[in-house]
Amino acid sequence: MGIIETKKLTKYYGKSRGVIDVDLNIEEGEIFGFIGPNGAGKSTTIRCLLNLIKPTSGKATMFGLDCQKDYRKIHEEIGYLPSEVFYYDNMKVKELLAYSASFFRKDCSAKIKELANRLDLDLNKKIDDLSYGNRKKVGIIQGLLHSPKVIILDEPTGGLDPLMQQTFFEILKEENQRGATVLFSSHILSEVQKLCHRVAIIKEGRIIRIDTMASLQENMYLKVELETKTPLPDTFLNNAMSNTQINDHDISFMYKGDANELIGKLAQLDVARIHMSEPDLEEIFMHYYEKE
Amino acid sequence: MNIFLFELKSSFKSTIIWIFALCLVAWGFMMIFPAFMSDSAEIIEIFKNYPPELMKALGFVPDQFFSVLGFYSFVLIYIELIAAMQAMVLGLGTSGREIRTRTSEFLLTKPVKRWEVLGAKISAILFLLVVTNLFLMAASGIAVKQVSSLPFSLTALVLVNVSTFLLQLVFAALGVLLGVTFRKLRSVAPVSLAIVFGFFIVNMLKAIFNDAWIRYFSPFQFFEKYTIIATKSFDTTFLIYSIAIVLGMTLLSFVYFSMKDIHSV
Repeated sequence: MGIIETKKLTKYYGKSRGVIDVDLNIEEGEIFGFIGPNGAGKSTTIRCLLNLIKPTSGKATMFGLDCQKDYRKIHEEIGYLPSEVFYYDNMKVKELLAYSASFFRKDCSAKIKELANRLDLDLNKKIDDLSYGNRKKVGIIQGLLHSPKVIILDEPTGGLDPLMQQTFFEILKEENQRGATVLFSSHILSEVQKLCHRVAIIKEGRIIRIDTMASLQENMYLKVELETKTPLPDTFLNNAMSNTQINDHDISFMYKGDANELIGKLAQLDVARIHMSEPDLEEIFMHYYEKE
Repeated sequence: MNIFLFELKSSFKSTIIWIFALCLVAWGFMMIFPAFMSDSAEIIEIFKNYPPELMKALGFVPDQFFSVLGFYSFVLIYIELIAAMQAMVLGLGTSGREIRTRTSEFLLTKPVKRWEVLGAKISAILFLLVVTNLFLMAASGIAVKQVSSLPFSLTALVLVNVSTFLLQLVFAALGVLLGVTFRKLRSVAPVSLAIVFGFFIVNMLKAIFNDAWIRYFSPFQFFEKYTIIATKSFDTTFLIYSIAIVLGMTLLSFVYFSMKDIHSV
């Protein structure tokens, strides 16, 4: 059984759609990516898991417990970082973190210090005086200080500079190695690609594909660009190739099929330059979004 | 317990200011009493020229005005205005704190049941209001003793003060209910001010038109001070009525808060 499961999870806000029949099954120890554009239903799904909103129908469970009924037990073991972090007025960082830690029956002070050091955050500052990025760091520490078993991140990287993002991802990977399961929602596909083992693509409230990063890329087209010294023989092209563009000696096409066959064909050519690339997640994503 | 302490800490400073204001107004007004007493005959003459409706709206009853508790009851109208404001601000500010600061997600993803969250908040409100009223009671007792050498009924004074506390509970419960149901809350004071003054105007209307049913919508009229002083007891109907609406609004707050969707901001 998965550590996070949803069955036919559906949420309508009045008449407008939130999510429809979302089935997820996230295994313990995974870093699971959840991708889709704004308004596709990522946050709605996450908010149902956190019992911030009640689903219209369907079910969500974590650790085998009902997200709506046993939420207190569940919340003991989860850390949540929303896309925008807000805090109480007039509090110092350390006061806020101490308040946050006071909800858990463990000593979190060492972890707070360690994370603050790594993220380079001054605990004695007032939160009101912090920049957007630094507030985000408070959010990260707040979400991780109790070493949760499940970490839920809803478009978490906004406001972090690239170096901090890298540190943040390193921390997440370490938490994952410690055994934490990570649910990572984002519309920035490169970060999902960097981090996640498995990905769900959500479109207009419905999950349209769930697969491992590897097989998502495998089943996709290979992008081939080459320059030949001699004209291309007519026999070269076959129907495994699409989007073919021939411009004198510059040829580009998308290839879907047996890679060995392609290499055999390429070997017959007099190649000046060749570039083959796997599509990145962005191209896969666009593929799914354009297809339907 | 941590939410309770957090709320106490958050409202600590403002409560001290409210207590200070209430006690100062209570004590300050009472200091005028000797001057009024010495000129009582002339003042009654002057007031006879005013329309009786205005006198009623201001809560002025000449016979009782010139006893020390009667005078305190008159003063209490304005103390109660401040007290109601405090209760409303405290109720609305405490239950709506997460909505105003957009921290609902922070608090409600913690391992705590929603009813525990609201329970802790309401306990903090109650605690602060009880403390406030203890101070106010002491201040009014000291002031009354200071300005009048004549004996007065301590029971009546305590009951009048208890009625102020009950009034605060009504406004605090209303504040809690609104704080829980509002979807957005930019600032607490203007909303509280508008509501409390709204009821204060209803109170004046009641005094002028004297329609019995208005009293049910006018918390400032639930407990008529002069009657309390005269009978040394509360009007049972309104005692039960006020406790019922406080409990009713509180229960409604719990039910709503436990079920409501927390929308992203």
